[in-house]
Amino acid sequence: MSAAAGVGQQWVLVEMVQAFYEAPAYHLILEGILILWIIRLIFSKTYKLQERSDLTPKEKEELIEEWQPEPLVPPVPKDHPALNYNVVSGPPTHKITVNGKECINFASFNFLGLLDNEKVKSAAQASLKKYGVGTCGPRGFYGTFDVHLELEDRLAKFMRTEEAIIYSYGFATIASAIPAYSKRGDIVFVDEAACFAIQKGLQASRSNIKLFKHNDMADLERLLKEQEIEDQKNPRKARVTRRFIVVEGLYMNTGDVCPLPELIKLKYKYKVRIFLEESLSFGVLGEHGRGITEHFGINIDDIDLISANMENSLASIGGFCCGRSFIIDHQRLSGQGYCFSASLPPLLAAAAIEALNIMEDNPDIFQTLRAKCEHMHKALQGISGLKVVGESFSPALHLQLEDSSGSRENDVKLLKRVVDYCMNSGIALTQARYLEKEEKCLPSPSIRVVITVEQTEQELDKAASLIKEAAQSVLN
Amino acid sequence: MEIACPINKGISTMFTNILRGLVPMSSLPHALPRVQKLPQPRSSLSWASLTSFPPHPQVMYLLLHTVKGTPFETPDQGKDRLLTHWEQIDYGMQCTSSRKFLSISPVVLYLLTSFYTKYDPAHFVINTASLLSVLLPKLPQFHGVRLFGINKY
Repeated sequence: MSAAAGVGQQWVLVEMVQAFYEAPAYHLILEGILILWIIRLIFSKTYKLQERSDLTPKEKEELIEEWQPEPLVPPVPKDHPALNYNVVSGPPTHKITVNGKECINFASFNFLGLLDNEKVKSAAQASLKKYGVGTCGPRGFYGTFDVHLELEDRLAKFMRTEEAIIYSYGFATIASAIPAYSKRGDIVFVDEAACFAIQKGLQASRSNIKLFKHNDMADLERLLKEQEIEDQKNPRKARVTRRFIVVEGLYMNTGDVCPLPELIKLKYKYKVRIFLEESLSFGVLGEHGRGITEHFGINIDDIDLISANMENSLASIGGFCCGRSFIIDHQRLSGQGYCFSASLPPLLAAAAIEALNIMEDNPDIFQTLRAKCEHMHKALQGISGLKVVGESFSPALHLQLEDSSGSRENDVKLLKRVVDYCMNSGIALTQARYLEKEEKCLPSPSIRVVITVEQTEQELDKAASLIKEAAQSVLN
Repeated sequence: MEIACPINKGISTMFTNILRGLVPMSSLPHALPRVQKLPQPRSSLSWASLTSFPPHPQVMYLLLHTVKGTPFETPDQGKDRLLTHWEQIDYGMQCTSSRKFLSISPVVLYLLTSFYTKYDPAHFVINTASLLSVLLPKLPQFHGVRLFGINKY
């Protein structure tokens, strides 16, 4: 058997070798070329395709000679605000002790007054006794506690969405949510007055950003139409491009609301997805505090993603995103701030749950807050030299100079004097601060006035008259 | 950015230490049929071309040059979304050892196949056509090139 197989094998080989001698010339030439090409390939060096430096070594030397190192710490004026900060002792509740002087707090975003609430504090203390302080791990590595899951569940139920996801840092919430969905080659239409966190999220996403004028739906429609025309020229590219609109419910930089009903219409007309950032409007707008969707009576399913931070109304730390399960679940693996940061300390999660309980049990505080905002907005009208920027029901108003002096530094100094005058008389205000070199569209300097539920009408009137006095004495 | 990315190099890293993985992996589909077929007598010519794994060039073309992007999410925000697997190997560096191996192996197969088919003209046409379709996209000049806009987005 094996002998026969051996003979058969020899016979096949002989035939093969015979065929090689009778092979057609073109075939052998092609094989020779291929073998030469293989040899050349084996001995070729690896190289990068775009690596072409057009500078000669001499030019490189010249450039190196010319270069002057910048100082590691740039010279900073002595009165830079970051070097002279006001020190707060005690909790920043209704009354705040700044630099040893007790003032009424018109600066902290404690809209619903839950920062000092006894029930919230006792829930946090009970959680502290049970879990300790921190979680020492991200959500994937034993950092998920039952309070986290409970908080996510409660938030989803409160906002009437399918699912919610918790982040441990408010800034990182929207800054992680945007790059989780929008990648290179995608297009994001964003308002000019978007807050810094949104800007960093857009920068991290590496997508094409198209800014439209603040709350200008005509400008947005123009940009969408231009994009539509480009899409029709190249439908195959358009099919793989994702488009998003990122807006805030209540803008922190200007105090207005976005025109959400028109945005929904544009969304369905041009097939764009909407990401809504509700940091200031969560717990403020709407009949039950559910935000701008409740305020305008819009179905929550029309918004693809709602993101908010819990550092304002909920008086906790961190942020959440809520929406459909299909959308939110993606962030559990792709949200960089979710996967790669330690999870929210359980005492803060318990405090947030208790704050939600209070919000659900007392739905009338939202109406009270809005009434106070309207009162303050009216009281602040007619100040000489300062104009009120913001909606009448917005709890965070801006007071900008009516006539700017021309340079931002001088405006900031003037406003600082107004703020100091008020601080000396017992009202704690603050200026809106920005990283001036990093913002895309830097807003004008302004004083930010924050209205909370805990302030009484007399205090509001007192603050308004004090600001009037300060403006008159400083600006005239 | 591409070079100093220690955490997740994606699919490109799989092929940098190719001699460990790729050589045995790609030899398997060829070795297995041969172990059985070689000692047996082959008189008919049509059987000879089946000594090489038949759909090998087509499958390699599909995997390397048709499918784009990555099946998992990468931390570079979709930089390689429009690049085929071949273009992503070693972050776009040309003539690395993995690329050399993947370019040479179809040629070696072609040489063996043409030897086994006794240089028959009909087989020549088919085998040369499939060899060219697999070799041309691997040339550095064809990096990122999409003919007639096929497979561009």
